[in-house]
Amino acid sequence: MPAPGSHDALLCLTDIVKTYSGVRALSGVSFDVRSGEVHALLGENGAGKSTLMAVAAGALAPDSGTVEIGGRRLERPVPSDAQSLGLSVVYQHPSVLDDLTVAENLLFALAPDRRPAHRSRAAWAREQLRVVGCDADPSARAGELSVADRQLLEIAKALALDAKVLVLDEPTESLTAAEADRLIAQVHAVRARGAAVVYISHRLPEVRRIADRITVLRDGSVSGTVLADEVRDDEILQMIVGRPMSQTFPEKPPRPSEPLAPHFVASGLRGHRLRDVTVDVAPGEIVGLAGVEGNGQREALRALAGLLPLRGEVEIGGVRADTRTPRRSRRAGIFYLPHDRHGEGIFGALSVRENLTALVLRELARGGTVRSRHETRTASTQVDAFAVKTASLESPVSTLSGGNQQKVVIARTFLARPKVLLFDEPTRGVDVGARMEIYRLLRQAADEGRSVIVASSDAVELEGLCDKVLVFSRGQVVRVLTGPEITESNITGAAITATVEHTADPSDARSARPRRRRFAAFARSDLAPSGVIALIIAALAVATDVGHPLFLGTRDVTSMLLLASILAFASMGQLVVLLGASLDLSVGPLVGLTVVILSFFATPGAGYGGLALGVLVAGAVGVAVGATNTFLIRTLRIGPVISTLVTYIALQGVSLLLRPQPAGPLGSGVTTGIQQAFGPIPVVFVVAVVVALVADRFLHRHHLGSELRAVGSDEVRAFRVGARVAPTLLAAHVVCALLAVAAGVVLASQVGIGDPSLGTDYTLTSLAAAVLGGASIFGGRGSFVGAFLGALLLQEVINTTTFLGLAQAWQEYLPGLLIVLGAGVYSRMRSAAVSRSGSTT
Amino acid sequence: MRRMRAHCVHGGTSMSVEQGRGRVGAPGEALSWHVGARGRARAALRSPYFPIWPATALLFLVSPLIAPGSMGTSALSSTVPFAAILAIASVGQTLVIQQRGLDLSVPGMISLATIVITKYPGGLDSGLASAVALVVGASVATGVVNGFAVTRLGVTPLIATLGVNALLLGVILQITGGSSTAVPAPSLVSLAFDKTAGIPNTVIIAAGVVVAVSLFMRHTVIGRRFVIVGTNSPAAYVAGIPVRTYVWGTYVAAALFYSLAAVLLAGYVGTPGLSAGNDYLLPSITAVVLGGASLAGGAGSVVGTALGAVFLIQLQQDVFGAGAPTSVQYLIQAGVIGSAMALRNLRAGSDLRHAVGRLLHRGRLPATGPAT
Repeated sequence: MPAPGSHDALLCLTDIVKTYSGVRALSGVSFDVRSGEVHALLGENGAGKSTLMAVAAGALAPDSGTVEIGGRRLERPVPSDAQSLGLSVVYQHPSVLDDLTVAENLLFALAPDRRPAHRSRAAWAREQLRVVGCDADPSARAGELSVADRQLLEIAKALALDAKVLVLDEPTESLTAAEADRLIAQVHAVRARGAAVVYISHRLPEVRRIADRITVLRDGSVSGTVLADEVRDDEILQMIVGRPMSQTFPEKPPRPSEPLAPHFVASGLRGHRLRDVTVDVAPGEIVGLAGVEGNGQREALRALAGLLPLRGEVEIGGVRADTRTPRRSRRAGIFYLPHDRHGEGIFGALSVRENLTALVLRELARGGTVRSRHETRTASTQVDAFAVKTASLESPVSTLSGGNQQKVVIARTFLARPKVLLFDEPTRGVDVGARMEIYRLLRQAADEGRSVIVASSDAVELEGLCDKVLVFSRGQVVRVLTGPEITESNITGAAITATVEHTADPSDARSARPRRRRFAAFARSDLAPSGVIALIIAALAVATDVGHPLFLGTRDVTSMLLLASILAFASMGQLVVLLGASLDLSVGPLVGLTVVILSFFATPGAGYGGLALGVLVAGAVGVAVGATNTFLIRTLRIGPVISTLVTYIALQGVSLLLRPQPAGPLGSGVTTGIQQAFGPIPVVFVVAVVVALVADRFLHRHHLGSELRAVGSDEVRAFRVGARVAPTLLAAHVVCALLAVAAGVVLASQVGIGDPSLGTDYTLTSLAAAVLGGASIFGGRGSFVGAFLGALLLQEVINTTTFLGLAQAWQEYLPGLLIVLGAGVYSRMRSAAVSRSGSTT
Repeated sequence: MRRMRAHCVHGGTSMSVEQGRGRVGAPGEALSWHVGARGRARAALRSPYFPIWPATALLFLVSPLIAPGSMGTSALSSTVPFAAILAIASVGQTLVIQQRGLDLSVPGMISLATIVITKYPGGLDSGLASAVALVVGASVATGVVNGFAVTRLGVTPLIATLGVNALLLGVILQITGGSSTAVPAPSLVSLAFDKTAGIPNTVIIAAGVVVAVSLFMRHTVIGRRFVIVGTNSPAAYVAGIPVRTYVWGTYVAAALFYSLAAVLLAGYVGTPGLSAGNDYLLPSITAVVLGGASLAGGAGSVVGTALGAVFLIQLQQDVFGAGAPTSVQYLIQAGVIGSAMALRNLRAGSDLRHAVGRLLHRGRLPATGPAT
């Protein structure tokens, strides 16, 4: 076997040391992969696999040691440097940009000069996907892909980069057997091309099929590197397990000679990631759920807690329990302690006292009022009993250490007298001292007759703590261990040698009939709102024309279209920032300020030269406004609402400063010039149409367009794939302001005088029009044609209600209803699409 | 360790960060409780709701210098009711913001309530009770529709309330036919104008509202759960609290506060017209923000908000009193809000160097700061 660092190695890590706040995560690990080799990296959770690969990818700086990729040393720990040296990582949780299409996600992987021309992009993308055996439509939105397809898309991205070194982090975890087969075939093909592959996995059978060499990490050091076909399974297992037990655990009670009747029984559980699971807990028992993360342990707990839909029977002490909602589960005595302590466990900004009593406020109250002294006494008792280390009862719980936060969560739950405790990763992020106390508390709870179920990815913890362990694999219990069988080796062995396969989920959207699928895809696309709104616009116009044949083709239409184009420019501006997940309230006042500015330049005598100068000045002001907004939002980190509220107020002030009263008539030649029309259609309206079409094309065809949507979709992921976040947002705010200026120019021609009180209405109306046109205020989604049509519809409603004989009130009712219902429908469609893609994060 | 902490008092490190660090270094160290008491005082000074107190005090101190007449009895008695009314409306906005929303239906609700309360009694006291009932009904309905759109239709609060505001404007047009010259009933006028024990009724009512809401949030089961839901709604859901019901209740309560503000406003201004509420949207948000709440939701202080409202109105009064035109008024307001927010973010998000760093290294790091 060649020594690490030999020269045909494409990836060579030498003596890597990495310490996290005093804990050694890697102590001098050397690892190499050669050209044309698949090198599997095995080890338990926390053995250091991910840390090692993060160092290789430049995402983590090692304390010492060197990284060489393709024979060249990685000088700085920067992901893009590692990437340009030829290393590509496919993470277990794909960093796909949901709002972009599949093809755009692929394109982001390439440097701009290597991207294929637009016409050939679909074919190129399809080819890239074919390579990994994914038949997703390149024009589909990535957020709607199944988990497996997202995984394949990530791999396709890595391959499109032509990586010399490919790191795959548990790539088959969410794939069905057939999909995993295809993937493995691809890995073989990549290897045949001469690339080096690092394959991280927990599944021995799979590793057997694919790996040439195997390296096992244990506790941050290499416990062995072996050739795959020269080693038996049990030898590998020996290398994986055997971590010293660094913890003392409370003593387990002796096993009763006769098995006791279980106190808690959950049988035939089926649901998300669960296939017929049965869990029962006898009095005094702690039951552990083991397995590689993501195999249904967590889902079992969450389903029992009422957080996920569940089929099956749940009984506590012989009584059926209702677990349809968290509230009902709680009433039945089931309490869930989540793994994501910050997200779902503690109320970070609230005090230790408030956290401790959160579940028992009713019990502490008399007549609906919490008895203050009683509460303090209760909280203080809990702090003492659970040895919570806190400066005071009133300290925010977020200032406590992880272990003490966890103790607060436990103390809070015990206070509510639980019958069943579901504990998800009880010691994650908890220091050693607190761990011991947590184990003691769990044992105490079991002794008191509560049913305790613990899910943990730490096999040593389960060995030390549990009286019974259920090992999960792909949603099933593959082994039940009791008494002396509960050893780390048995737990890990059962988990990594399980051969259970994923089966295709029948509810998967992709199995739906193709025609309905195509319709559904359209319904979820950014174009659907435009189609629906265009229909409403047409229907309204026809209805008006039937009642009043004079409506179409008259001055009414001309003036309606003129007003609509003002709003259209403003709402297209608003859309630009919405796409970037920002917001601009200053649009309205900027429209108004433009009118005021023009009143100084486009004076009656000044002609078109004056107009041009005025537009130029207003444009410069627009650029300044956009830059100011970006400065406030990005640099000073004042959120978009307050930032643009500040500019909103300031711009109003400037308008009033320039024109305290309406004054300064505009030259009539200029105003009629702007309002010129082809028949009933004003020129500016045509301009707005063209802008909408061109902008939409730009948004989808030009890289800057997809960059904007990428930033709006997920700023962090966009940054990771190389989008320029801040410049993109600056550009968006400037373009938004310029479109507001355009709206102001048309408005000026309409009012003909420098009136400082105009424009503010356009702020909220532009927002309404953009949302009506399908924009999401969370960014990434929307279309210019949609925003344009939204504007046209809002204006049409105002102009036609009187023709239709509707009361004036309908000018408000219709937009209001359209906004609420439209946004509701869009939100429904999107959440449906997300749940179909099966993403749980 | 402890001495170091004592030295840090003037060091500008936040209490929480400091404690966290202390913990990591010495996990076993038991902290004595007297440190906690001092820590609490320091925490109060560092609280986001604190700066509005000295800021308001300072404003009142310098007011006589800027605008000599602005602290006179007549000037105060004309501004104080407006501050009180804005404070009440802003309390509603605070509740919505605490639940991570933003309520744009303020103008519609306030306008509608002023119209209902003036139009239906026809200037007579006898009709006042039923008009009040009607206002309450309209507020509950508005809150329910907002809550429905947010919790059931899944519409973002900003958009939902924008749509509902349009619906309210529709109702206003419907019941007025486009103009309103109704005047309030006499007892409503006297309620708004009179003083009790030398204090304007509006102030008493506003103070009552603020104190009541503040106590409610702190001491009742429902109030406490409301705070819990606002702080971390996923965790509240896991804990079995009916989150949707609380969000729903928030919009109803908020609408009721807008309407209370509107009723007093109608009594005070006489003929409110059709769009009395328009002047309350942005100021209500501004008052909440000045009061120290973050638009990212979670925490909020109605007392802070009320002071924010007082500050805003007094600032307006000073600028007017100094003879400055509306334009300057706006510019000063923008400056005050902008710098208040910038200062707070700098305080919270470590220091100026970071801001400069962000400026120099644009695009290198995605900002992950609070979306205020």
